Amino acid sequence: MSTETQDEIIETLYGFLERFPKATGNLGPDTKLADDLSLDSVNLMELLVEIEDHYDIGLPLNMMADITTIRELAAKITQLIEDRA
Amino acid sequence: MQATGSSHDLALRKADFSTLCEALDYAALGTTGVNFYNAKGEIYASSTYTELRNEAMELARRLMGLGIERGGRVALVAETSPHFVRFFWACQYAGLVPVPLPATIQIGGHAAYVTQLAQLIRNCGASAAMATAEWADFLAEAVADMDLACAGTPETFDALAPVAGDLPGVTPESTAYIQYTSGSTRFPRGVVIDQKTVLANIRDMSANGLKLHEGDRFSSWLPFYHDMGLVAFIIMPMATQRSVDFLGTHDFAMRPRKWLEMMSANRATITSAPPFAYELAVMRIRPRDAEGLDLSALRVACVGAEMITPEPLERFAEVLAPAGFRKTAFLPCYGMAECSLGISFLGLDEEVRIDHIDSEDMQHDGIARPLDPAEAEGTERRVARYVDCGALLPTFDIEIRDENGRPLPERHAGVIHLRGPSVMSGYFQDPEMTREALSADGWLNTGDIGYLAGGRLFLTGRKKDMIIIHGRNIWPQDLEHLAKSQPGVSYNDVAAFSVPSGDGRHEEAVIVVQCRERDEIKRARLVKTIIGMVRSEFGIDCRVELVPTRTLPRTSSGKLARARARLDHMARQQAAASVPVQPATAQPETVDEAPIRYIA
Repeated sequence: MSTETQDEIIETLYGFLERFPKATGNLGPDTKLADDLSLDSVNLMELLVEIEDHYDIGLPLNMMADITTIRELAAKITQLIEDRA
Repeated sequence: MQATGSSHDLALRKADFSTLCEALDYAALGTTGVNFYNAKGEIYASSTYTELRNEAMELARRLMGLGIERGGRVALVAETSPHFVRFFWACQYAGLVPVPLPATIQIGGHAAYVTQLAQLIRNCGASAAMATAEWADFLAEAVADMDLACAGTPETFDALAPVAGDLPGVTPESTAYIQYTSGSTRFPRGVVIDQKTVLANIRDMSANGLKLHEGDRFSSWLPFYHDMGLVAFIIMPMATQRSVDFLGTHDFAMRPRKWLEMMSANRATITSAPPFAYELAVMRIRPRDAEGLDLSALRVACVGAEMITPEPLERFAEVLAPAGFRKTAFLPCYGMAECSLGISFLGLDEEVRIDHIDSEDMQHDGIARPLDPAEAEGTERRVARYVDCGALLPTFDIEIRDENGRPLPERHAGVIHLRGPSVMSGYFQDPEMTREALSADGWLNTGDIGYLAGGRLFLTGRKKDMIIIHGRNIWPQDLEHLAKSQPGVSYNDVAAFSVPSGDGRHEEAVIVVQCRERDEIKRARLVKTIIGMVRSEFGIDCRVELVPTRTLPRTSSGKLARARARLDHMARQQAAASVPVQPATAQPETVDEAPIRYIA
């Protein structure tokens, strides 16, 4: 089981996101997934798979409706890890 | 849990029923049914048609207690779940009309989705609305200020008191469902399909398109709010007493291999997907994954819902050949919600066939003159390739017409017009739109462009102006509406359309905006805002081109000439790409007067 802190989760997310063409360089906790990184729905699916596999959690699609930044995504992951524990 | 079997003793009847209730009454005499698989590829729900019928009739009695008039609409957020299927059939027994609504959401798209739900629920005048737990909060927000007889989760409905007495049921003329043809929020078009209409189409498809036989088994991840997902995988298997396996759309999109595994494990014989899905599947599987799969039973892999390009299919066939996949299983087809579903299918066991024609002749005269690629090589003539979408199902009449409505001969491209028993009765409560699409003598103007050759249909252009990305229909009006909502962008300043992407294999959306702003920072911000709005509402990337005022072409009556705007845009792109780069000093001094363009 992963025991990453939220900051560590953010770092891990940077690692996942760097695979996408527009995500190089300027990643920060407040980077907006859609507006700043231009993630389309296919990219998003790839990202969600990485997160699910890495943390062994299930990410419901409806959850993404209220997430805009990397920090918010990390907070949601933290919560899902805690729920699972 | 065990999936329902593929074969049983019940004699195969190919949808020769007068209503969907009658069809389910018959299917309930057998042992086949519906099965649901989760993200891990495990079965989590399974019902025989016998069980499904009982559950649907019980729920129908509870729905009757709501006092909704016959033919009243019940909106169903169409997540891939056993509840949706149960509610869909319950509505039939209760004499109500189910209306599947999209269950899809973008990053940060909460508000946009709620608005969309509310708009569709209002448009169909629903008396009740259901969403499963995952979607219930969005539904509650959408209906907050509506006065519905009941809105909530399946549990809410299951807690209603059942009413005794006969179920009202339906007649062949009753509406079977209303299908929204796109996720359009501002301009929803609800296709009204009657019982006899959808059954006529399924009869035709199952007897002539797919030639169903005992032992066929369906498999799908297509969304239930999509015409192909609903008609080909919920209604058709039931009306032909076949078992069907479902994987959630989201689960497929994340792990396409689960679709292949599900088909392999249950020896599915029939599936369907847009071309992009076959491509996605190949992108996400490793070659050695194929070895563990057995797709040798799969005899039909329909390909439809967007323009078909052969390359992704060839790759899929290659990678999955070790799993026993045969490329003759690919079945290009043509269909649309307005015709219930299927219109033409390639012959079974035929290989995907390409018509090579002279591109110039097609562009200038709309004539599909065959041109051998070998012959064209080294000359100035270019070859255009179109996929054979097969022969029309026998119940359809077809005419290819020119812009004045006159029928065209073979190998002349024009607007596809269709007539037959599978055609819709109209768009829900929209007589004007219905009149535009449907003539008094029953001809449907599909808006799609194509030609006939040797009795085969070839599509050369899609529904007028429609943007199709990843198999999803997006109305240009919706994209334009988003751009027009920006300050400084007025009603007449916007045109949206799609163009082939750089590699020529995909389509991408383009929004051209007439912009008076000269400040580069503000211009860049406008572009970024529009791109962000499109992404949060539709989940697609688009390009925004800012152009000077009076760039967009109009028709004589002042309407936006979208097709011409598209050609103009492509010409500008081409010109920009071919202009040699000038040294900075050679720039004209009057640079301020030159049209400023910004492409994101």
